[in-house]
Amino acid sequence: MGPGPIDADPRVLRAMSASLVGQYDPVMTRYMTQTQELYRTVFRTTNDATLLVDGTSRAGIEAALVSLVSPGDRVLVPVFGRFGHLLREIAERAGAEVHVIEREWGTVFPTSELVAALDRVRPTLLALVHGDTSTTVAQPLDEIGAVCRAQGVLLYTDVTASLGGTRSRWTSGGWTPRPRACRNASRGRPARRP
Amino acid sequence: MSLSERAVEVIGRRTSVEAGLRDDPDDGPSPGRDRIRSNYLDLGQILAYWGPQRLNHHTEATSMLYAAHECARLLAEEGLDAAVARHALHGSAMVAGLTALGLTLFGDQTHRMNNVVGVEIPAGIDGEAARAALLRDFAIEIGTSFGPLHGRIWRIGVMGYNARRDTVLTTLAALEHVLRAGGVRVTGGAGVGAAVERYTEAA
Ligand SMILES: Cc1ncc(COP(=O)(O)O)c(C=O)c1O
Repeated sequence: MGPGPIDADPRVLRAMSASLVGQYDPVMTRYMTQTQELYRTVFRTTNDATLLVDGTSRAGIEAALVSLVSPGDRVLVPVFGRFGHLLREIAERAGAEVHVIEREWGTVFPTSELVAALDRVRPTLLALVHGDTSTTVAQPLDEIGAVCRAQGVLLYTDVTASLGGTRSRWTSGGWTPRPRACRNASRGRPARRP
Repeated sequence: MSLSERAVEVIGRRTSVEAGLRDDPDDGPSPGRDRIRSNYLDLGQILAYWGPQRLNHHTEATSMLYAAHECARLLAEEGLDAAVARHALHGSAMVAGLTALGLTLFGDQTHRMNNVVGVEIPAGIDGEAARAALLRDFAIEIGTSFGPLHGRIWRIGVMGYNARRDTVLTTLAALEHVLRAGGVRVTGGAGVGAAVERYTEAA
């Protein structure tokens, strides 16, 4: 009953024990296509670019940030727990000019504070954790996608621990990652859930 | 992960094709282009692998893909709304039980995650010793915490396959025992009772 890794559904463990097939075997490419479609359902998205990054959650985070952020780009990272600090570190390593706003652990940002920081920093990208397992609270995301889209800011949100477990709504145009393969059906699914 | 069209466009301007796979020599990195600094995590290359081109990138971590496929199937079969509702139910039963054991929840409860509950370690209890006792005597693991919260709170997951009535009730019963053994005054059966009440209410 920890916050992860946790017991996986036996169906997942059985799937992992299946024989391997070559990656261009038609069975495998069909499997990949199915996986993409399944994750569109899980993310409630029609984004064509829905895929897996092999690795634990931070592989997905790092893939997103290193691919989206060019050195010198301004990135805004609101930090309300450990995993906000992780986003900050990864954005810094990607060469971004990182601007951080912080909140006491156990609290979340009112949307107005996020909007004020967006106005002040004018970032290329906003990197925001949804459910931060280190503090057990979740940042509401309901309005922030629309604000980012209106301002031409890319939104990266980390739903590792909340996908399928804690509600969030994001508008298409904002985008969402869910990396990791395997925690369990809810925590991000392949996570967590995540 | 899922990427919007806008994100794909940004990545497309920065990606390049690996040497040995190029049809067109111009697909390589060019000096003017702001090349993505990682190969393994180059989403442009990963997109080309997952896209209709199926352009080779990493040699697949096949078992992980099987696992991810099955995880998504489980969630899709259950339904996303039902999965969230299940976590809300079992998370709230855990919260009711912990509160009835006299423990104080951590964090802004209006924004509590459904699937993990933060709870303060009561005075007089060594958090790590209590976790060790839960594991040794009951084979139940609960989470420690990091940084400023280390030694102050435990984090109890009610996640995925573990978001079930039996796991919630067993954890509360075991925790009651460990708290009492550590000298905390708890009413016998209070945690399990409050959780059961929550389930009855919700039924
Ligand atoms: C919200 C969140 N983000 C990121 C991570 C990083 O995951 P990992 O360390 O498995 O790569 C975790 C891990 O628990 C997490 O809960």
